[in-house]
Amino acid sequence: MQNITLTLNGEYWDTQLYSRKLYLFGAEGQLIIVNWDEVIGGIVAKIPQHNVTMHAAFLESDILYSRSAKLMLKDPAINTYVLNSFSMLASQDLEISLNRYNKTQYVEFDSGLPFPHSDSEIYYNNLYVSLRDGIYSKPSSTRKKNQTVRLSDIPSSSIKASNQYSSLAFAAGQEGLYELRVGNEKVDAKIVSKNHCSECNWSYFNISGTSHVSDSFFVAFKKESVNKSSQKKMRIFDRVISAEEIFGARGYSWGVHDKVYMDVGGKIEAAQYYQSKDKSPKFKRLPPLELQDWKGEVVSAGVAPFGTIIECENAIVVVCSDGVVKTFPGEPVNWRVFNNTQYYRNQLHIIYDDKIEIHSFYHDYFVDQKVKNSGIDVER
Amino acid sequence: MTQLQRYPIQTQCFGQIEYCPNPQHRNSNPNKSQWTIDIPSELESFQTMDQQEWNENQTGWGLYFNEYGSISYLGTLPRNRAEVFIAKFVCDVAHGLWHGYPADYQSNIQDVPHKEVIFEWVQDEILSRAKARKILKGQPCKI
Repeated sequence: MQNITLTLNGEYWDTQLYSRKLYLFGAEGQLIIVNWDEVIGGIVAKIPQHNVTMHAAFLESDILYSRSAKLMLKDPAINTYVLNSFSMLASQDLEISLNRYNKTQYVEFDSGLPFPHSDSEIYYNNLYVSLRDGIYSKPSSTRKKNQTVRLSDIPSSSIKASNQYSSLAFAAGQEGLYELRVGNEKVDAKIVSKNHCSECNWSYFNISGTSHVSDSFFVAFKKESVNKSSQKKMRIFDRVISAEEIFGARGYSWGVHDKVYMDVGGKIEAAQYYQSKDKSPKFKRLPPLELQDWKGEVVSAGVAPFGTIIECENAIVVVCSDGVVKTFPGEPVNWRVFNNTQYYRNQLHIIYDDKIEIHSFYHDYFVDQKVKNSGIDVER
Repeated sequence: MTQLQRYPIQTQCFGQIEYCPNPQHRNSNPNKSQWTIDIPSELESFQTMDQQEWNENQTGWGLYFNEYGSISYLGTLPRNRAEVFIAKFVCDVAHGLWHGYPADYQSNIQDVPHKEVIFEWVQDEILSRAKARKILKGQPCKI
């Protein structure tokens, strides 16, 4: 199966998609906020026969994961109709053009945040950026520069929000992995692990730390009752598990939610995280991912429901959840997936020098979530 | 004859600024990054950093440009002998003396150039935005 691609020309640094708005950091540090529903609605108006599939592809990825949608897709006629519609969209060159005179379509202003950042995140309507100078935030839609706050002075190369615990995890290189509670009260960041950490991701309530210079690791937490009479549970640190302990080998490793991967000399080993009955973390080894288009050393990697994303020196390789391997050639300026959102988990944004490509993958709607080796289980 | 013998390590003066190559970064010390360019090129990299003001708070970042004007590798890292193309220059404020070494920005975030320096390199088309992002995120970056 192919993917559907939207292209928007321009020079960008970073991208976020949150709550029906596309946030683009321009190459000069400006913030462009696009009314995503309106832009996609404009395209759909020209191809109304693809209304449902365009909706699933770009506006509400979850609609075809629902139980009722899965039931309907079992009907051969509906299945064929939906697949044909996706396939026709995938064969077209879809472009977005922003109208600078239409102020309901997009706004552009100085972000008021330090630039260029290493990573960004939007969480509870706040925009966060990480960089060598620390962690900064401001309300995501405001133009007011004086609302920018420095939350931490710990240098950071990567920041990721939890979808469950009102927390941000951030990688601080040789200073380790940190967690920062977000809310009304200002609190200091807490160290989670002193292991070298270049990038981080959440694995439900655990955190996966990735390093390019030493062993990657998995910080396991467990939930325990506050006291015997209470139903309320607290998240408590359990232990740090090295990627070597999971895979019995050393290499660049990354994990998101139920999947953990390791590059062992060009072969991608896979494992699935689960909690045993005694709440301790366990990892079930999965068959390794088959890669035909290997492009050298791994620069960065991620996981989304549609598959595993591996950035190599001059290409992005996606090992799709249906086993197909797709290669997007070229050295990207940046790329991002949106696991914390409800509606955009099927999208991969790749920024190149002169454009952003927004790829939507639809094969995962037809994949058994319980048996896939590549990609996050969306039903868990 | 080694580079060390050909170019004795001694303090060089550039106007008010004094620079002294650090021998630990030229003696095959397994725990220190090592220059692969000769001492005159190290001095040139320092001078360019100073002239272009790629510095802040007594810390600067330099590059080495080859004869074709392209940036080139200038050193190797102790951990994996990987080639690197960014140098970090620091000033010993007490003595007013600068020295530099090939920067290991992947191991040490403090070796990542300041955002203003990175931005300038991108604006001046010395560095692509793709490579700038890799450096800021501590990812492998080849030229």
